[in-house]
Amino acid sequence: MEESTKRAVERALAWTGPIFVVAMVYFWGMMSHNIPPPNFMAMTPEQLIAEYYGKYPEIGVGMIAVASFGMFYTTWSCLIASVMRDENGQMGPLSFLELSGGILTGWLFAFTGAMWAACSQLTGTIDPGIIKMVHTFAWYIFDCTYMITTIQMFGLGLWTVLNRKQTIVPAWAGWCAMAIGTAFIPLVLMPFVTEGPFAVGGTWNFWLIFSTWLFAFFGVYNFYLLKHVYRSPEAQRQALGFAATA
Amino acid sequence: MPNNSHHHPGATSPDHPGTSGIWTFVFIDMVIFFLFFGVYISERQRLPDIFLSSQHQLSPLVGLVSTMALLTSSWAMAEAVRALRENKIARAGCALNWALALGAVFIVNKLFEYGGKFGHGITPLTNGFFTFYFLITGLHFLHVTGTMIFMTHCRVRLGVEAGALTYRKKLENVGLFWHFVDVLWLFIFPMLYLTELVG
Repeated sequence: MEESTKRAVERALAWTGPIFVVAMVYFWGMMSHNIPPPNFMAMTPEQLIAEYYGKYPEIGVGMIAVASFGMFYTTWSCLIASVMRDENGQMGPLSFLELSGGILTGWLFAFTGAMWAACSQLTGTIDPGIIKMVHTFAWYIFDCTYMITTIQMFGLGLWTVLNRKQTIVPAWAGWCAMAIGTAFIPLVLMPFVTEGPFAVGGTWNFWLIFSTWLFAFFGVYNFYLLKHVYRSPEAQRQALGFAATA
Repeated sequence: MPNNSHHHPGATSPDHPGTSGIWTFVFIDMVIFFLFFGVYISERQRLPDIFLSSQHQLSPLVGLVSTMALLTSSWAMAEAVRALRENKIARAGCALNWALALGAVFIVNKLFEYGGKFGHGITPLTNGFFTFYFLITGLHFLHVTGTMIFMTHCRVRLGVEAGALTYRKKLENVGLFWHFVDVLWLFIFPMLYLTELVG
């Protein structure tokens, strides 16, 4: 592949990060009325239909878009993994932790988006109890498999902190990534509570988790990754910690 | 922004202990805990009766034992770092032994406390207060055990690596984090165990 083509591919992949963010905020958050999500653990199936799926028919369209754009998280993660080289230019276990977490997180958005779209489209034609069951199942997958993204954040965070020669991302961003990945742990409480900060739309398990993940992790790494892919090839080598070529 | 400076000016100086990385980690960890504290306080204001009645079921004496164990362990750790700076290896080893032993007192005390709660049917799902109690003290407990693993490593390697600058930086970093864990508990103890006493 020619160098200029390679650069173009990298830059396109880097921009899938911001596109992912905009798409999720619009399609998952606004169009699918998930800011915050309905407190389904405290709702009967009939309430879930009346106050959510039946009330907002556009959820189906929004969630199909989520299923599509959700995979942009995977493409962004693939680029990050390709950048995470060690001092020998190899991809090590931390790169693969990041990559596997990124692939599975993208899959999460696609899979749960499709499930919620099905709930929306089948509203009115099947038993509300089945709708709630599928809705709940999708949320359990979305929230309770947090470890998928935590693993990605630890892989990326550890590489950022431990690879002392790289200057692509500052160390504090790596520490932030690991801290935020750890802050996901209270998501395990979501299935068991019907109110309070650890409910599905609660202060911690929704507002704090999503906003810190978005602004203190994804936004930060997006910024530095975009800076990196617009550097010259030589500057990229030096940012990775390799000596300047003669 | 440079990534973890390769040189650590004054890393073994009493005025600038530890490396920039551990200070960054401590700061971010502190922010996470303070967010937990903030959400706890918010919930306490929303559910004052549940929180007050639940705090009756915690023993301030047990909390005090944990506090004293951590405080004295932290002091012993500071002694270990100071002794190493003065090349008093045997004294550093003795201080580390005390730091570990007192840390173990905290762990055993906490495990007995958890066991007592579970024995009375109290779990993280009992109510909002106990969700926070188990979450906050559980996270703190993980910090204690994790740091003690590093302290054990330092104690084991003391005889072999004591003269190396990297070892001294490592011990300072571990000591710094242990003090942070101690300071965290000084916030957790009154917040969870004592605020009931003043209503």
